[in-house]
Amino acid sequence: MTVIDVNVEQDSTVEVSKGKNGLVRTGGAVAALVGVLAILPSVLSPFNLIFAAQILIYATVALSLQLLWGRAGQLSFGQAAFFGIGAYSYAIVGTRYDIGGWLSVGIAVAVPVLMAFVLGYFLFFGKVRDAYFSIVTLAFVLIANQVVISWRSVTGGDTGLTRVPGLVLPFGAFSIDFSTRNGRYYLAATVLLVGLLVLLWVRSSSFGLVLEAIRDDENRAAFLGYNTSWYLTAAFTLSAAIAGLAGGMFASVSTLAAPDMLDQFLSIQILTWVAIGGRNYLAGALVGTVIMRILSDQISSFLTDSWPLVVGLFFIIVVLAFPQGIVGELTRIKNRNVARLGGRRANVSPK
Amino acid sequence: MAKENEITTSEQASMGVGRRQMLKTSLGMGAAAALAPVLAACGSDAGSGANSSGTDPEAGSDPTDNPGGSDSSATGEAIKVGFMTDLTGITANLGDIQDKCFNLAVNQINSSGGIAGRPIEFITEDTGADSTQTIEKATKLALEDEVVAVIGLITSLVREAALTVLPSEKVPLLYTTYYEGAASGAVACDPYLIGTGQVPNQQIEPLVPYLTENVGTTYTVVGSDYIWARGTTEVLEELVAKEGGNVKSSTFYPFGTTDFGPFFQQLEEDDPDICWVTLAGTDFSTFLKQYEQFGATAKLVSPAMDEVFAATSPGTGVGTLTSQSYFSTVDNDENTKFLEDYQAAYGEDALVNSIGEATYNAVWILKEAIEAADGDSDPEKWIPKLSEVDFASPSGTIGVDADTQHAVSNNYIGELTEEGTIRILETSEGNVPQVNGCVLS
Amino acid sequence: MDSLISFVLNAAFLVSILSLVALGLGVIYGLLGVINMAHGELIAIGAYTVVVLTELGLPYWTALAVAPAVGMVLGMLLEATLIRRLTDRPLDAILVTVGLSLVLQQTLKAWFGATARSVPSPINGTFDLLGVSYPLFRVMIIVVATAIMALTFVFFVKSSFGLVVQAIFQNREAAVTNGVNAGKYNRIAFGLGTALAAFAGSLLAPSAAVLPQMGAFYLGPAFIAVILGGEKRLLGAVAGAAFMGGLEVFIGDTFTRTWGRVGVLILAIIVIRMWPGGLVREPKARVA
Repeated sequence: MTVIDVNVEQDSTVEVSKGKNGLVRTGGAVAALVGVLAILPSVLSPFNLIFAAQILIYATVALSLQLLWGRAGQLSFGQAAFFGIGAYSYAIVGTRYDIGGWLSVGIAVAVPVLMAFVLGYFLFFGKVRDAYFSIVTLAFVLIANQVVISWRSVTGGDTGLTRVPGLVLPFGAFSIDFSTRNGRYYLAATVLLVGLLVLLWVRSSSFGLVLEAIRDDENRAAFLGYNTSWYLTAAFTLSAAIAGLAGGMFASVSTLAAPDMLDQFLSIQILTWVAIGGRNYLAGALVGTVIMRILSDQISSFLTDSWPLVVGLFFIIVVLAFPQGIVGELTRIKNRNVARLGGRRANVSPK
Repeated sequence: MAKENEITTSEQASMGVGRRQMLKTSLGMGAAAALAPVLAACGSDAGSGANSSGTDPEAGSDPTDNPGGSDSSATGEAIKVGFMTDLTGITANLGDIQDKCFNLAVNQINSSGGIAGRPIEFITEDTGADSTQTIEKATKLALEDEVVAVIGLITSLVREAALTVLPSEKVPLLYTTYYEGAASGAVACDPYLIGTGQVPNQQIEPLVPYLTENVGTTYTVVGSDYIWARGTTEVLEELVAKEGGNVKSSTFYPFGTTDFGPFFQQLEEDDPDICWVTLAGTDFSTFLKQYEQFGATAKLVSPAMDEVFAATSPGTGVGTLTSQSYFSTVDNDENTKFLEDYQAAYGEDALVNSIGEATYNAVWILKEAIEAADGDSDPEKWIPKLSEVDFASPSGTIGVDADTQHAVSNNYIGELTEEGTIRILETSEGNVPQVNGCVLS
Repeated sequence: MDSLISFVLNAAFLVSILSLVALGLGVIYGLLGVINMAHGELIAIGAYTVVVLTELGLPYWTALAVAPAVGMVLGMLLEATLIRRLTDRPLDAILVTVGLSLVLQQTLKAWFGATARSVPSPINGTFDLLGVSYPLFRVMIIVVATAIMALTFVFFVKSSFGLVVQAIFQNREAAVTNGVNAGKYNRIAFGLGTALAAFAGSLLAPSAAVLPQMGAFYLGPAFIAVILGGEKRLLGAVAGAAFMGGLEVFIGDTFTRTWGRVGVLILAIIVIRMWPGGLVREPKARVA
């Protein structure tokens, strides 16, 4: 990402060609992802398909955190809060008011968006940044968790809301039933793709570039005339929208909204997924989530009572050995090879 | 049955590939060295039972040993059972006891001919005390391992999470912890839910008259802010009103409260006969220590007190009255034998409580029901036979109520002694569970 | 009157423990810029130290002295092996300490079992203050915690080590360019922070169920306290803890206990927004 940044300043023609190449490459990667997602239902067992659906939705939340942390530079301990608020919004309107379909999806996004906007506006315009921001998001997730545990008449208390209806979306004359076993998987895959496409758009847009500029030096961005507080509020809100969508669909897929879908422990887990994959890369959030979920699932079936130890050690090792995460490390290796290749060419051409 | 078996084998074949691919992914990540022996041990993952937590010397430690066949007497096709509890997380100490009791029952059954000649094969999974992990593991047990029943679980959160999966996959859950029953909209009445622990009426109905007679009629309630405490308090308030007493105040603390100082001020103001405690786990232990420090004098009564809690703060809470379906001091031959075997397997100091005993019973109830169905492990066949169960358990004879599918069991009112044991003061036999409006038969 | 006295005592108890934890976090954060997610486990290690020593038959008071030493040594070891590699990468340090927290918790569990351990109260009996009877042991905790905090401040204000640390607190880059060997200070500061956590754990042990995860509940409030008070000032952590503990008891007394928990967090967010520099501002006198 910083590479593109440099190019913007150096030479706009390079940027265009880079951009075109990048677009092709990104398009290829997305097409490959779609392909893999389409094949999975025919190769995975029913259990693994449901497990895959869980992972895809978690990956979507990880992507939403990547926007805020990797791109805008603000680390949030509260990502699970928006995920959970989305889940509860969907579950409450579904179980108590019998609302489903598009409206329930809309509500699962709208409620977290509203909260994030109010909180973001309040904080960012008050110059709350960095560690202060992180701690406030920690306080926020603690509050949200306590509220859903205690507000039993609405949220079902410590056991949460069960029998949450699955999602059926009408498209004109016909409708798609996402509540079947395969349907849940397709819903999860759709959510991931929607989140990913939105974030890819952000990455290529001027909005995304300004966020990176703010991350690298907020004063400079402000000096260039950008209202940085607005940009950060927007990033926070968009991030909450995607997290909320993922949460709502998670409630639909698992037919449950529970207090541990919005606690600090899930928040920290999401953080570790993004970090392991590489917080500066969209693909990092995706790869990190997939690896960590599969790893903890496998280990927890074998080392039933000591698996967190292995997960913890693995985590320490990855962070120490690959500061840029797994995707970051792969990119570095690739770039080094490209650079070596480029260097050789440079040597050859004068002859 | 034949058809079911076909599905089983083909599923397992495809499953094997899926899992191995996943393993490869994780192996590539650098944890290979650390994990290699474990993974190798579990290579034949088509349900060798080697997933057990290793607390059981017979079944867990040696993966080549088929725990189902530890004795030659059980030779038929294995019956696969899933066991789930909190092996990590905040309630891990209780999960550990359920795990031990489950393993003990399986070993006893397998070494005495299995279930109708068929050995039990089991897969242990950790809930992590987390709803999402519970859903995932319950799905795995139902779809991948194709177990005939899932046994275990502690908190209401994970029970409700497991129930989002198991009934729809037609896998019965034998839930082994006393809980709030139908209070507060919890799922308590489901053809695929079998309760081997108590519901509030079984615990509290015998207790309140006893308290009126022996202690007094005024109460101050302190509990954690959660469903079991609130549900139990509702039942208590009703019964106390009937007895002409009153509950002076109820305070509910959020989970993770480390200081109950303010409550003791309240207690001094109320000056009740009885201090009724329904705090959860660690908070309860913390409370007991601070109760002693504050020198409070109201009689402590808690339906959650047992020998396991007592051991976490020796010397505190002495004299606390409690009421449950089992204490290790229950005096009968079955309990003597049970404790002998338990301590032989897990050491002289190994403690056990009612949720452990209810786990032990659950395996035996499953055995009796399947045998009543002529050895057919198909839930559709053995669930209707549950009402025929008549098991001489460590807590006395237990059966299963046909309407609610919850255990009919004895209840013991006891008092915590200085040694940390429960001295039994009163026994009431054959208490029938009440789950509002539940008629499953 | 009774309720006022009991409020003050209860708040003082909560605040004194939270202050020790927050002060430890604050020293580490202020000096290294590292948010130590494994701080809760250090509390547990302090408590387990007391469990082990009292079970060996040593008096509680000995254990109280040994626990912070264990915390200090462990902290310095962790700094030397892990944290040192991450001083330029504070974000990664958060992540490593998350992993560390899992590892330490599981190690404690493997060692001591999942069942809670217990330490008998070294002092029994209650203390009568204007009609309110309060446990003597709690009064002792309040006194000892306050004394330790006072000592910590004296150390930071009077010793040459403390003065350099304060300089780093104020402006790390300037201090380093002036020839301060930050590495050495980092190690001692990290050890000091973990020693304070372990000490808090050893004070808590007789009033709590000793479990590997016992420190987790203090971590969130303690972080908030550090930020609330102002990261640049040591006294800030204590002021933040007083805010968190005092208001939680007050709101809890007035409304419900759950509102106490939630209300104090909401107020904390508002205060952080309104006074982003922290409750404790630039010093008028040279007080830490």
